[in-house]
Amino acid sequence: MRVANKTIYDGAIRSLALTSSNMFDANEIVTTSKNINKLSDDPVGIVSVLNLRSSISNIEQMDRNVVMGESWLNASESALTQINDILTSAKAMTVSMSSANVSDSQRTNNANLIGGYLEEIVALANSSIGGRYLFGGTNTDTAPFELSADGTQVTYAGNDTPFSISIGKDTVIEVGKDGEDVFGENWDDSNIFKTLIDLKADLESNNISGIQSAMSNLDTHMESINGTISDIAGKSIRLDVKSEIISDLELSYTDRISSLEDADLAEAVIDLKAKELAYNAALSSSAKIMQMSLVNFL
Amino acid sequence: MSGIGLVLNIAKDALLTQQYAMDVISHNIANVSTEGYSRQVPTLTAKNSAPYAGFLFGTGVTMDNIVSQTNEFIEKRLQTANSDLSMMSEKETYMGILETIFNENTSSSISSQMNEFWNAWGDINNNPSGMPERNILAEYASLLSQSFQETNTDLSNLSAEINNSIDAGVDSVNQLLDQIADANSQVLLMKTTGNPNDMIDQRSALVKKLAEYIDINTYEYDDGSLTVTTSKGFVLVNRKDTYHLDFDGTDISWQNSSAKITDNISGGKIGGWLDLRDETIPTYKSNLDEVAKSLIWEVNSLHSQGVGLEGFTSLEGSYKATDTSTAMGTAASGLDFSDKITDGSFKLWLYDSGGSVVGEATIPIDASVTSLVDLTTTINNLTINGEDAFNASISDGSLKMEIDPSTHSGYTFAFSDDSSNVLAALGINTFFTSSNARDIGVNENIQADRSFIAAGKISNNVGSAVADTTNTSTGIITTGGPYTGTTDSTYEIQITNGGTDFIWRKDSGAWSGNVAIGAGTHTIGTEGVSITFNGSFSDTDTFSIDVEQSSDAYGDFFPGDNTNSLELENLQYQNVTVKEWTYSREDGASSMDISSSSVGDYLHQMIGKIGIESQSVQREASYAQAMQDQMSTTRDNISAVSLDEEMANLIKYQHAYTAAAKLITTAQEMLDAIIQAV
Repeated sequence: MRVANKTIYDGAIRSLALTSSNMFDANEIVTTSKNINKLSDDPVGIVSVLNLRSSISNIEQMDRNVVMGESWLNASESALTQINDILTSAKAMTVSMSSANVSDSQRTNNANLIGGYLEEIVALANSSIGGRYLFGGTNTDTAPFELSADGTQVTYAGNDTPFSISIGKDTVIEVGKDGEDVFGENWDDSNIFKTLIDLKADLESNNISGIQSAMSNLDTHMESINGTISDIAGKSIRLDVKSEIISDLELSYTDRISSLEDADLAEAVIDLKAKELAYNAALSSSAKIMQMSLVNFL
Repeated sequence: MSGIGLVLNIAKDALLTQQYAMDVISHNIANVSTEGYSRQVPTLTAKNSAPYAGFLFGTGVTMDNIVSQTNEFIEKRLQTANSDLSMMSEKETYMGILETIFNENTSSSISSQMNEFWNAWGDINNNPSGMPERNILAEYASLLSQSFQETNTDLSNLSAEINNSIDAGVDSVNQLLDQIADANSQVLLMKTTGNPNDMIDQRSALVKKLAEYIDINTYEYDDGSLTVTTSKGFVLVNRKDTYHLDFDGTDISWQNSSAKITDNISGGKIGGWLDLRDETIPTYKSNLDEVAKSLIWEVNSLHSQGVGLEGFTSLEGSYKATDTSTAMGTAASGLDFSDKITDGSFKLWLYDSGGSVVGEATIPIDASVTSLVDLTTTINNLTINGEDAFNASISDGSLKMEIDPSTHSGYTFAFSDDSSNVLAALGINTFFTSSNARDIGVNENIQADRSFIAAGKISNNVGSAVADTTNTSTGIITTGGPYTGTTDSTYEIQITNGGTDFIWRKDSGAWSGNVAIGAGTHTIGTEGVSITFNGSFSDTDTFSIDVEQSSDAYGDFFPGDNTNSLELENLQYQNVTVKEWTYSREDGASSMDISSSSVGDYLHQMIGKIGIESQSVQREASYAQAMQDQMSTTRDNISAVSLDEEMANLIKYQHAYTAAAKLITTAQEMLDAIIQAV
């Protein structure tokens, strides 16, 4: 076949361009340590990477949500445990005060103690974390319970939608409480505050039958508070599990991104070396072939 | 003629001919690097023989022709290959730019901004009344809007840049057409003297350049002049005549006629530019708009259901109706999201200066009837619990409503339970503005006061009215609500006047006067309880209706409430319906509804598609390059100069020349010999 000079030069230019561009690409992978440097490098991979990145960003948020939920649940649990302790003390005291042997003045003295318990429980029912009240439903900005100045009424300022946080797609978890659910919906014997206020009045007025009925009411309340505590503990466990899942997921997502995106450095360097060799070969063969001409021999 | 004279003559011709041949060779050598040059070969032929001495003697050599070594078929294939290559390499370049515009590998990309945006809602959920969280959300929302806007601007600029290239390209095409027509006249002129090889080469170079701009066909007449047409047959050059192309900023037309040939150009740089301008860029631009549009709508429709930390005193919608007296649910209204409006209603709440709820009004919307003017009138005339607090007007096509400051100073209002989508469609209590990537922004109200980010919802857990199952009649009554009273109550109803009338009372209060049963629904009392009678009734039939109060304070909203923002955070996982656009130069725009992915997924898929398209353009470009290389090698093997060959020929002709010169010396010696003999 007839080969023109132009063919030889064009061929040399083409092969040099090709080998040097291959070398440049291989070098980019080595210097950035990434397989995907632009969208077209791996369009399918980049979609996975973007999805995974969104997922990671999302689970980082979920992690923050879970941590915050755990702090709510822990605070609620500790407030309720303390309330239960107080109720236990109140119960013990009530048992001793219901005895006919106790003098009127002793009962009157203990009435003040119950008054103190009441205030303490109201304070605990108004527990907050970071300025957010735990037992006021979604009205987390206002103290939910208020003891009237004369000490005979406790009013609820919250609402009945428990404060919730999101821990994933379509999954919210209630970390706060509707205070009325916990401390009593109606102003009757099912209400912890009313029981204590009545008990105080009964102690003051030496109404032994009232004191005795308070005993059974206190039992009911302790049971109900315990029920709430175990409900909270259950949620805590759920969040703990979620938290573990989140850290596992984050690890596996990061792993998958890395496997899609990160270059195997050893492989990349060997590839670069191979491309370098090809480029060198092209350079030296082109240099040789371009010099050859009949002109040199005439 | 005969004898030594003939020898001399032959020698002279041979000398000249070899010298001519060497001229041709030197022309070839000189043009070894000239692009598009076709090597020329001298055709030497033996001269006709002459008879003498009873023989036919040859009379020497002559140069017959100078032939340009070209293969028209290969040239045409090369021309097409050049067209394809120019088109693909333009596309490759611009796809590269498009990839950088959507460079998703950075933290300022749309998708990472969107992740931050969703997370900002998550932070608001954890602390709904916190101003820092609200500020961060507003910031991220602005950044996200900006990313959308910038990407959209980059795409528009790219489109404009390409349009400029097309303009310049058409100018170049017209110049080339003139030059080709010129070359045609030259060829015709020279053809009278000989083979105008070099002129033809020059013309070929011009045609090659032309083919780089648009896809063309060529045809050569016997007289050597060339006809050039577009590949779809529009004549561009015919002998000395040219037919120019015009570019009006959008379309390319042919020789001042109205014939638009834009879509007939499918090759060359201009073909590539048109593909990019009319297919690739509009596709991604529209799809980016769709991402923005669905984000805007989904966020707004949830946001408009909620309430911020405080109520509004005045509010202006961010969407404009072009026809305010047409039903808002029809496209003729000109609202961006008119198609989203459905039959339904929304609640408008009024609060007094102390923040206590005055009451609520349910405003019905009939998508195919209610116009913006109707809605404005309704709100304007609205009386809530006896208070006429609202002024509503239409300002430049958008709804403007405010508390009348002269009569109800300090009052505020808020919204809830919009089942008609009309609030989101009017831009009332919304989060984002606009409906596309170009103009997306954060609502001015929220920019000015982040308290208006609607994280909470108005407590609307209104009580229910339940008919008591124990009634004393064969007829039944059904009850309706919602009951808006603040305590649990009982309504009693008694049939009177032989079954035609009834009386009612609440909580054993005083009985009402007689009310005719008639048909339809009766509202009893002022607290929303309604009843409907079915069947026949007789005197002394009684019913009782137990109604339960709402346990939430009716109409209240709380700063610490996150019920609405929880839904907004959850939006990131929700599948939305998005249109996916495809633009084709032949078939125009077409779209397909996709509802299997979330906003973020759709964006990611779109970015993936850019990568895939770019990859396939790269593949096509390298294929076009390979084809062009192949054709160009084939062409060069036929037409380009080989120095080795020329040198060999040079030596060949040099030897022939030397030999012819020797002939002259020999003839001279022969003549000398004869002369001396004389």
